[in-house]
Amino acid sequence: MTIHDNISLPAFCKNMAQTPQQLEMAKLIIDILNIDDVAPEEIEPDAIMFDETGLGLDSIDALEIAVAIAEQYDVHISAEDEATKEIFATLANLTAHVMQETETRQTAS
Amino acid sequence: MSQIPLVEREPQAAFARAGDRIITVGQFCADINAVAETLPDTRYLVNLCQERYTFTACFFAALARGITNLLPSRREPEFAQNLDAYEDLCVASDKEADDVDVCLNLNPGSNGSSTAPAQSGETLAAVAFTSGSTGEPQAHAKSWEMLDTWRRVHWRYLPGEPQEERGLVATVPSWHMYGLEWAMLLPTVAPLTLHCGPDFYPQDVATALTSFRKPSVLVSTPVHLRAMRKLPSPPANVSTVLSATAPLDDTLTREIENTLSAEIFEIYGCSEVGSLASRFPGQEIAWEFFDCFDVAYDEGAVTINHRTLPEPVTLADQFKQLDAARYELEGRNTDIIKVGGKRESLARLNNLLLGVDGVEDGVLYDPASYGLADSGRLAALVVAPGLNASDIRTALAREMDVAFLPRPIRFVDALPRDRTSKLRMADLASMIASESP
Repeated sequence: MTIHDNISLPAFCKNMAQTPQQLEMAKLIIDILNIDDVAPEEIEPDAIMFDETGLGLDSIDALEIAVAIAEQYDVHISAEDEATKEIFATLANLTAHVMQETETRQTAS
Repeated sequence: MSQIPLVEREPQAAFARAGDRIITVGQFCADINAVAETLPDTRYLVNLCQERYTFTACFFAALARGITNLLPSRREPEFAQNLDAYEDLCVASDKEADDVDVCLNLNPGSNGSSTAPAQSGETLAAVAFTSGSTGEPQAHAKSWEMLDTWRRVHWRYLPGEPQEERGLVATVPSWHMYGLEWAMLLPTVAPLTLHCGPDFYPQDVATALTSFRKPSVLVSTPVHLRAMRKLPSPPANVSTVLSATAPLDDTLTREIENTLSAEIFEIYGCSEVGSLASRFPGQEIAWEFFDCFDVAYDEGAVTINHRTLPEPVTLADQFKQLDAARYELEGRNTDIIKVGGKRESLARLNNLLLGVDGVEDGVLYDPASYGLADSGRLAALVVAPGLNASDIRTALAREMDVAFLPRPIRFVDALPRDRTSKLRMADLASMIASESP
């Protein structure tokens, strides 16, 4: 748990830590999972999304996020193993993974 | 009662594929026999193995020893040790952890006898758990004779040439009854090679199916199939797609049948019995119950019986009988809801919501029941000045499976309760409509 979990900060304070790419990813997650009681700016980049103190997401959510990422970024996430769990753990990890895959493809082509 | 072999296939046939490794039926039997020797003398076993082949071998090893497999939906070892009603149990897993008594690793495979073990049909093979309407988990006992009967019936009903060698890829876990029946028991009699996965994300499933280079069967659910609609290069060797756990809509049926060039075979079942009926949703609206069951029909209620069931089971859903064998599903029981293949009582979940500190009133609902888009999740209207959505979800997550956590949670000043403080569906519907964007 991060210290922020116990403090109710206004949304504009929380979002200072988000990069533009993380904000775009947060919007995709909120939109695809129908979590419209949370603003994209409120998802903290390093907070664990898949446990009960975070957004409380589960594996079906991961599946839906993976499909949305495939459509929007043409990045295909595979294998439900420890590495994939790490990718999905936080907004920061997920965004970094997608950006890295996109860059690798651009470098290769 | 007579002994029933656990596996009835030629020893040299391919039983499973884990990565590039082919596991023959003979090797599978050797692994069952070897694991059976290592299990402690307990009455029950909680099988927490994640890898599909190890789970399967462990299940049959327990059965060979006459140890009953407990199949709780919560998979954490510490939870497994707390199945209070079941003393004398051991916990088996393929990962070391506290509370795990037996840790299995079946790669490389075991040496030893490749003769298929047998067990008496009366042996209690497994106990599956579901949430009953009171919220207390209900146990459903499965004798070995029952499971043996089901696997042979399922093989008979599986579309396609029965003797044809096919691959089998499943997106559902084997500890769920649907996965247990179609992706664990079926390959022990039918010529199917089980893919060990993990097969979860669309790209993994596609790669697994393609890797078989022979016709393959996909055992899946509407949620996983929806994710497969837009695969850039869909596999071309799928012969049959099985779907169960939730109703499949017409659009998704057509999209999947077009994408995979395969017919969908849909299964209807209940936890008390298992798979009960089937249909080809692309062709037919009605369900046909498997011919092994005695089906009694009375004013919409269907009661199922079979010699292996302890008592007849009346289904929670309402049906309309179309002719001697065909039944149309008319309505679902409104209290029992299913999310992600998990069943819960809406009344129990509502009580949990009302029990959250700071929640003055509130109600959980399934948006699809109120004409809104089916998000596959519950939503909530809550009266709780001083709390935010995240507070409520955090509190609820301590009490319920995260699959049932509501979203969105909308805050209102009061719920439209009548004078007897009942919440009428029509009043709730108007409020839901006015609160939804």
